[in-house]
Amino acid sequence: MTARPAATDVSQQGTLLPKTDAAVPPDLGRAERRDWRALLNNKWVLRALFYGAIAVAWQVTAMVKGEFFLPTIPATISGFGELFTEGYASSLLTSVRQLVLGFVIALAIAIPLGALMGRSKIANDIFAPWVNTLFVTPKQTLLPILIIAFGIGFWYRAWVVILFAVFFPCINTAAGVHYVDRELREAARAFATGRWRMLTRIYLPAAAPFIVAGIRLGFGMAVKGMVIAELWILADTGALLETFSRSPMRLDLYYALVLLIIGFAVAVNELLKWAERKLRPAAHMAGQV
Amino acid sequence: MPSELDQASVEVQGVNKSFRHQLEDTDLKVLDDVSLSFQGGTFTCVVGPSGCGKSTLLRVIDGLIPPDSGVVTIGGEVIKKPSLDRGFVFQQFNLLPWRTVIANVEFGLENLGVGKEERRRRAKEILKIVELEDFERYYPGQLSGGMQQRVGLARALAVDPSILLMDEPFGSVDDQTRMLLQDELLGIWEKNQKTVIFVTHDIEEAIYLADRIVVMRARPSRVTRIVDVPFGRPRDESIRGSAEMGRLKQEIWNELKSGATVEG
Amino acid sequence: MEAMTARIPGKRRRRRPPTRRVDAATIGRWILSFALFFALWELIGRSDLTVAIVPASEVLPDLWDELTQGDLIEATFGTLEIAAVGYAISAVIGLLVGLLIGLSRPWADVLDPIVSAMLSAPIAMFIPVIAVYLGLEFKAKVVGVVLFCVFIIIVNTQTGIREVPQSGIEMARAFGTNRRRIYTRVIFPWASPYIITGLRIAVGRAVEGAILFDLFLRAENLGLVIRNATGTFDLSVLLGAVFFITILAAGLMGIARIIEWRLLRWKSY
Repeated sequence: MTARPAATDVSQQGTLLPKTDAAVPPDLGRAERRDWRALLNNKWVLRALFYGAIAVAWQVTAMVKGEFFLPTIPATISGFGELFTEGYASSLLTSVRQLVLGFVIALAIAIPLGALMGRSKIANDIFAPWVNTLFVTPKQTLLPILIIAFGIGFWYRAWVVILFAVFFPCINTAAGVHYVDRELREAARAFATGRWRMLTRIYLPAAAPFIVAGIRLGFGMAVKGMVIAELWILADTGALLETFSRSPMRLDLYYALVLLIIGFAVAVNELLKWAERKLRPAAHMAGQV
Repeated sequence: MPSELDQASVEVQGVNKSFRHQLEDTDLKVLDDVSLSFQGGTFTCVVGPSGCGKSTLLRVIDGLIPPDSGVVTIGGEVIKKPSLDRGFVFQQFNLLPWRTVIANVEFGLENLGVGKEERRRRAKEILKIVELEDFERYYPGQLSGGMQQRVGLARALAVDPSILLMDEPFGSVDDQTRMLLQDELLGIWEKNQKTVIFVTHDIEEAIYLADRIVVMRARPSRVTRIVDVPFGRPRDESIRGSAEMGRLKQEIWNELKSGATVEG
Repeated sequence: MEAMTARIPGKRRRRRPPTRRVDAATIGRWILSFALFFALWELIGRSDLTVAIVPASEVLPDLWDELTQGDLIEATFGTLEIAAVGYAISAVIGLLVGLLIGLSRPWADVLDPIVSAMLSAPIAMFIPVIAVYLGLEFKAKVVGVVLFCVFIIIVNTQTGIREVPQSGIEMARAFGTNRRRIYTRVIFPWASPYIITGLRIAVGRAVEGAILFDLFLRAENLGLVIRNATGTFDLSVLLGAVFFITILAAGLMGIARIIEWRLLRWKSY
């Protein structure tokens, strides 16, 4: 059983390398549209129209239904401000710090393991059952065990992040290393390339886009783990249900927070996607693409 | 009453086609005032350097691409869109990978509305002609390049078109297979002489197969010369190494070279 | 496109050329691997390493009791029901939207940012919002599962359609295929591997999501089992439940993979 690679835009055990964003819908031979309708073809115009309409709908609904149903747009924006001034910011930063730390540990485990699994069939045979099985386990079920084992301190959160984040980098690295073109390897061996050089000049560049793709997906999972870890603490103590049933929620703060988290996740995601794209020529030259 | 062969004659008149270059925002003129006529029942090869528009020309004739100006008539009727009077064979085979060989051959027949049993019968017949009758139930992915192209040919022949358009059909197979396929194609054609327009960049192939050769050039993309092939039919393999073949090759090659350098 | 066959631990599969072979040695290592797992579990459980782990020899018999006499099976069905309903809805929405985005440039331009953002965003953080607007019961949970699954299906469907080579469509047009048939006979079959993969992945997501919402919204079914075990500090039941859910999830995904493999057999050529 081989650990299967995760695709990039087609996450979780799909294809190998990401397709470029230049992919175009199939052309059925319709005539080309010129004239003013070409304006409608401009993607920014379309987005402005669509999201503008949504923003208007949001604002109107918020004003009609009141702030306990939906915060108005200005309220959400000021919610951002409040997040930073009211001291929530420092706890957010702590969370982010723990997230990053846990993530780095996860990578330190996942990538070498993945590389090993990619190179050695024996290692793959031994580890792959674990990896693949744990991969499909709903990890939220492990949270209670973790709390009992570690309390609610740093290590609890770290372990949650590690558990969530470790799979994609591992599986992707394994696939990237495994699929390095055999002919390339043979050529390198024919030139008596030493072990170290094989690793750095052939395997790493060839596998690099896969690895970065794995890191990118892993990071998404790390954020997810972090959120769930925090939520579980609230839920476990019953505080979560209380907030829903009793005191009215500060929805403006909450929406601001949600948008912030989404923004954060998307930003990191795009950054890593860019890195992937940059690495693809190197992979191409290493015979991978 | 026009004869069947007249129905299969193709007239290209004053065809122009430009493509808009997506990124550079310029127009690329792919066909520049091209006029040709193909007599019914003849085998014509179109040779030219890459970029000379020969593949585009073929697609305009088929109706896949509308010309900017000019007109294509077949048997006197103007062509507007693809139809099953014309069969097309693609360079990259373009088989549907999830269908078996025989199901691929039946593809065009389905669009004709032919019933299931009749389709099967005809497909089997055609497969016998291209010598693939033992491979009915195979999938394209299991076949070699040469075999896949024979399926492509079978698919085109199955709809019994009066005109066969072939776009560098043997360009994706190795030399030896190519020569075998050429002989096969000639064998099939000689039994039932459709009008064939065959695009290729291989001069020897063009001479071996065709009654006449249309030489094109690039930039501007137009026809420079039409050469009649002096060999009789049926073609004999011995032509391949003959002095006459060599001389013709040189002649056409010179024509191509000069066409390529004029514009500079 | 790379192959997507299943690999189930412990089961023998027909070998496929480009991927790794499953031979006797491999199966031997799998067995060794699982044996090691149980051995480790037993050892850690008996040691003083952590209170959280109870040895397998205690957990497994308890689990068996729960299964045969307790309501674990019922709880499982409850959660699976939520997963199934959510999955069905996601599949329908996902396929339709995916088709829309895949075929139409303008719609893709508009909706891509949302789909992309929702893929990288942790859905769990929408739990409060779901609770406020939809309550804590079945309806809310189903919506949560839909949120979990639908974006994967959309993206896979979209990519599948984008992957259809223009040459295939050209061929179909050359052979006089009308528009409707181009969709059904060319585009859809060519996109199907991706679509089916997306649907398979979504199975796992649906189960995950259902458990998540059974834990965090109103604790019910499997979520309740876990909550109760946590509350009473009954680690044996807790570990048993986790073990059981793991096997369940792995089993479901395995089945999904077999179905996928069956449907896509032509790809292996």
